Amino acid sequence: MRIAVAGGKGGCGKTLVAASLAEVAQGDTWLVDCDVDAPNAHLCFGGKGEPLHEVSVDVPSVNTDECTLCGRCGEVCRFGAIVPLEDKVLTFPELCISCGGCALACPTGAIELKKRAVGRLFRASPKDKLTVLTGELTVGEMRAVPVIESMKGLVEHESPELAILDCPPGTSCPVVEAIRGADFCVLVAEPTMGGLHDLTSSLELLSALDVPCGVVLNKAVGTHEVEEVCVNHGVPMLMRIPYDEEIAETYSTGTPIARMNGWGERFGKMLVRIKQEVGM
Amino acid sequence: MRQLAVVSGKGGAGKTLLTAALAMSKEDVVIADCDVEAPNLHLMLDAHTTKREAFMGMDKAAIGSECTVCGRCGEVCRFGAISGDIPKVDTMRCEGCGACALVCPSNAITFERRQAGTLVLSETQWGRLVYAELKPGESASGRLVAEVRKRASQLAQNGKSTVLIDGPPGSSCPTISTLTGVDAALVVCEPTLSALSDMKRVLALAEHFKLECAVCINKCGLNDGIERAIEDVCEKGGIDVVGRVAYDAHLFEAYVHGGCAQMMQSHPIMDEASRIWSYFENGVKEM
Repeated sequence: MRIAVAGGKGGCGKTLVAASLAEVAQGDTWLVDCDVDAPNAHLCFGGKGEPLHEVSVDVPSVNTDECTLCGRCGEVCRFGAIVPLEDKVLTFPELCISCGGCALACPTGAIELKKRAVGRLFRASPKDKLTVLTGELTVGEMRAVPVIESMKGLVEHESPELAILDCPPGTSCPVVEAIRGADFCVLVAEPTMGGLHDLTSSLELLSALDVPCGVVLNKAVGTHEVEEVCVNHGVPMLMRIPYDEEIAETYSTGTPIARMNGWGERFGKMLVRIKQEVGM
Repeated sequence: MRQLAVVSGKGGAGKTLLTAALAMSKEDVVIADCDVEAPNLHLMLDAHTTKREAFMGMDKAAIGSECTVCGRCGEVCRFGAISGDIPKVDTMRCEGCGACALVCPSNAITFERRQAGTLVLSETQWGRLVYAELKPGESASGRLVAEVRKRASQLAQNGKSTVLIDGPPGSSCPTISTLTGVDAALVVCEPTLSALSDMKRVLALAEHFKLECAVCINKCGLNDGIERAIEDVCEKGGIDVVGRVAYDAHLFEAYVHGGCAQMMQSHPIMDEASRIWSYFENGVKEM
């Protein structure tokens, strides 16, 4: 089973929930931290562990002997990553999205695609049957998606019983890549004005991706318009976590709140509920 | 000081809160909310929309009836956007690169302009605010951030007023687009292990861009040990801690129920905001 934990608003509690689910899961479990430009899940389990492979992307390399400076590569690139000048061709690898269009268009085969490292994966085994996979995008790199793809590829290869994917905030392409293919998505929401707005965007995204979901309301205080949004969208409310200074203090130290009194059981029940929703 | 960006790395550390306080404590600012995937500043400042404009993203491929089902497009697409016995484009995966059209033998592939989001111009009690809403699932985050900034700079008459920028979380494309070319960055941190870790990444990014920056610690009192660790990192890196805001449950409740801006007007956060402006305006040379 693959469970994504997402939520548009930064700081709403995605990692808090993902780490707690990983803490209580029985059986072979991977916690996969897809928030690759701000990875935090490993902090809940003692660190990133051992470095694995680098994540690389293809970028163009121009063979000046074969290049006739025809300019075709610059015409086809829609991202400004390859710019033919009068006497040479400049490349801007950080703008390249690795589509291969320039190499396809080059009439003399002067463009070769070469690997460029943009990040690295790390693997930790904090306890029996739990693996924490962290992806780190190199600081200064633009695109998170290749690192997330690499992590998902490793998960498919190793095929654990349960993978919990801690997703980035927002609703754009890295989030889409992290959620795509999941059996279920836990959407974490906070009851602030912004949180409500962002929950609605996330629900729209999940509908487009056709992934069933449920909501965890974190920092719950006062009345909950979030519950009305859930009812209107026909999604279950899986858990309410109160706005509580003790919970905030505990989490600040990197302790999954599933280790707090009574919370382990609650997260265990949430896992059972998710399995029922998915029919597993 | 022409452009000040407020970033953090960690989501939820208090960028929007600090940006609001900074906006409320300075005359003649144009405010830009560059968190285009989850804009919240307009809610906090009770903004009134004056104009909404469509933001067009990358064109998406469309396969027409001239298709001979040769399958070349699917072979060259590196994003898994073309599949099926009769090739069809998944527009959420399509990056608009055009590689498919390059190899199509029957010119069956065209590109369609699509709206990827909306740019919003608005007014608040404390200045004009430009923000945007990226459609869920879109990939043009960095470009939309650049558009928000460009519009804010135009409204600021390219330097006459100060542009104050509320940044997105993280440290990848949208944050890089937020920081490019600003005069300085305020990095907001909270005393949690996660925020400390993410602050280091953003400080590294600021260094990469050779940006002057300073740190404000929000939610002080939550964890003294980590607060000291933040101060240590700053000291070792030669970064000043220029503001501290105490952990305040009442402020959060106002953030939930509304009335946050009103509460802030008589809140100690305003003193911190004034101090932060003084620091950047006296201490940082304009570029």
